[in-house]
Amino acid sequence: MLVTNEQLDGLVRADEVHRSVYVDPAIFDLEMKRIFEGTWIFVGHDSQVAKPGDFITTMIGRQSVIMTRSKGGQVHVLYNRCAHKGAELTSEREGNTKTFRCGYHGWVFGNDGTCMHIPAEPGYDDTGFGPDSCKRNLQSVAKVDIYRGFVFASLSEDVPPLTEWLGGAATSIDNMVDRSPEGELECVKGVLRYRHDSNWKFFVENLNDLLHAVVAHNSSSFTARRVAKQEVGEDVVIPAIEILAPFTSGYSFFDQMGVMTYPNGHSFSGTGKSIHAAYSDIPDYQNAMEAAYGEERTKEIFSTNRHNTVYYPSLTIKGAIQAIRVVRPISVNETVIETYHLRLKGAPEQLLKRTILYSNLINSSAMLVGPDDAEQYRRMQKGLMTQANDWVSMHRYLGREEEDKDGGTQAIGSSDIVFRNQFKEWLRLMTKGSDASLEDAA
Amino acid sequence: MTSATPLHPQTSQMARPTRQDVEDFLIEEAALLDEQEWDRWNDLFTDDGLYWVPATLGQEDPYTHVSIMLEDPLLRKVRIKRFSAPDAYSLQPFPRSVHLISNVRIEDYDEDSGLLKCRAKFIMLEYQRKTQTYGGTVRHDLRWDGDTFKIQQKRVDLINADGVLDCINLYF
Repeated sequence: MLVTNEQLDGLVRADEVHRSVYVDPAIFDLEMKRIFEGTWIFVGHDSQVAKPGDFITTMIGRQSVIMTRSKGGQVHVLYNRCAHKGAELTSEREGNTKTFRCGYHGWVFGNDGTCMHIPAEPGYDDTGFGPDSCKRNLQSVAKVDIYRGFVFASLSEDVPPLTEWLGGAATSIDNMVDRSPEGELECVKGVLRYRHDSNWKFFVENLNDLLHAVVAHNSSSFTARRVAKQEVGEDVVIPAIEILAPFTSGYSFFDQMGVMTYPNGHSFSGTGKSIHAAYSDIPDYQNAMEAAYGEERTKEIFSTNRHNTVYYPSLTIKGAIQAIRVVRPISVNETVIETYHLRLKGAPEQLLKRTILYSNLINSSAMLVGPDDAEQYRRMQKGLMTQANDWVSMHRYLGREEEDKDGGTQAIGSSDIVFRNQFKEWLRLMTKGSDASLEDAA
Repeated sequence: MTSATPLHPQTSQMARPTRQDVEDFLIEEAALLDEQEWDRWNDLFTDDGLYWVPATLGQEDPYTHVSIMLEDPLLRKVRIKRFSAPDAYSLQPFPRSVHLISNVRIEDYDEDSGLLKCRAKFIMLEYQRKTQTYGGTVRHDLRWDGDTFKIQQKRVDLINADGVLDCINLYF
C-alpha cells in the first residue's frame, strides 16, 4: 500500500483535520517513522544521569535507547541493541555501570558505546566484523544536543540545530530554569506513568486547549471548591484547593490567558494570566531569588507564569510548576504519559512540595483532573470511529491572530490556533520525504 | 502522622487487640468499600487520617515524592462528593470493586498510645468497561480504643506502583 504525500496533504485543511489522523493504524505507523523518528525528541533531563556511569533507558518513537554519561562527563544517546545479534542490552529503567554486557553471547560495551570485549574473538579475524569494524560498537543516534539540561535527540540527521528548532518557545525552558536561585534543575525520583486509551495527539492538543477546562474539570474543580467552602470556609487557604479551584475559572479568564504559537508546532498558553499565577507566596524563596538575581530580574522572572508549553511532538512542560510530561505513543489508540518532577536548586523545599502536590492532584491516573481529560480522549477515539463527519473542527477564532516577537503568533486563549499550528508541523514532517510505502514505515 | 496522645484515657486497662480483631476490622473496611458506603468508610479514619498510595515501592515521604493517591480527610470528601457528581464523566458507568484481604500480621502495638501497625496482602478488582486487577501490601496504622479501631494511616503499596497504570477510580 502506498501513501502519497498528496493523500497526506488532503488530510489537513486550514480549518479542519480528517478523522483518520487519529484512528487509522497506517497513519500511526507513518507518524512514528516520520515524526517521532524524524525530528527532535526529548530524551531526559541531564540530572537523571548526573554522575559518570549513570544511565536511563527510554524510547524514541518505537526505538529503544539508552542515555548514558561516560567517564569524561559527556552525555550519549545509544540504541539499546547489541552490536552482535541485536538483543536489547539492558532492560533496567536506570542504573550506574561502566559497561553493558549482552546476556546472549557476552559482548561488552563501554557506556560511550565502544566495544570492549568479544568472547572467542579470533573467529571474526579476516571477516567484515574484525577489530577495525565500527559496526562492533553500539550505535549512537544521529543527533544529541542539550538545552539548559534538557537532552534532545534526533534519529534523523535532517533537523535544524536544537536552539533554532526550539525558537522562541525556548523561553519557557528558560523561565523554568531561571526560577532556580542557582539556575539549575534536578530531576527527583518518582515518575507517574499513565496509560491513555487514545491517540497521542489528543493529549498534545489538550494541553493548550483552554476551552475544555470549565466543562471537563467541573466535577473535580467545582466539587473541590464546594467541599472546601462547606468544610473550612472560603477564607482559609488550603494548598490543594488553591491548585484545583482555578480549573473552573470561567471562559473570560481562559480567553485572557492567551496562547502563543511558534514554528515547528510549538506553543504555550498563559501569555497574560495563568491558573498558576495566584498561588500563595513562599517568603524564603523570594529572598533566595532576590539574593541571586536582584529585585528587578526576580520580578521579571516571576512575571512569566505560563500554563503549558508544548515542544511538538513529545515534550510538554509547566514552568511555574516544575513538572514535565512526556508523550510515549504505543499504538494508534494507546498512549503512555510520563510525568517527571524537577527541583529548583537553591529554592526552599516547599517549592518541591508544591510541585508534588500539584502532580498528585492533576497528573496521577488515580486522582481528579487527569482522569477527567483521559475520559474525553477515550470518547473522541471512539466517536471518531463513526462516519458521521470525516472532518474535525479547528475553526475557532480562525484568522484572529497577531504576529508577536521571536517568531511567535499570539491569539485569544480559546483559539484553535494551537491545533492548526500543530497540524501544520504534522503535515510538514509527514510529507518531508518522498511518497512512502507503508512497508517502509514498519 | 503519629501523635503521642492516647485516644482513650484508660489505655493501660484496655484489652490487647488480637489478630482476629484486626482481621475483622479490615474485612469490614473492605466490605464498606465494595458496598460503596463511602461516608461510613471515611468515618473509619481519625480526624487527620491519611490515605496514601505511593508511586514507588519503599517510598519514604509522601510530600517530596509523587504519589498515585494521597488524600487527607478534605480530599477524600472531595472524591466522595465527586462520586455523585452528574458531570463526572470518567465515572460513567459507575465502576464496581471487589476486595480480597489476607495474610494479616500485627507488626507492632504500643500499649500507651493504642497505636497498632499491621500489614496485609490484598487483591482488588475494579470493573468499569474492563476489569482491572490490582494487588499488593496494605499497611494500616490503627488506633485501638479497647473496642474498635480508627485508621490513622492507610498505605497501599501496589506491586506495580512504578509501572504503567490505567485510570484508577475507586479506593484500594
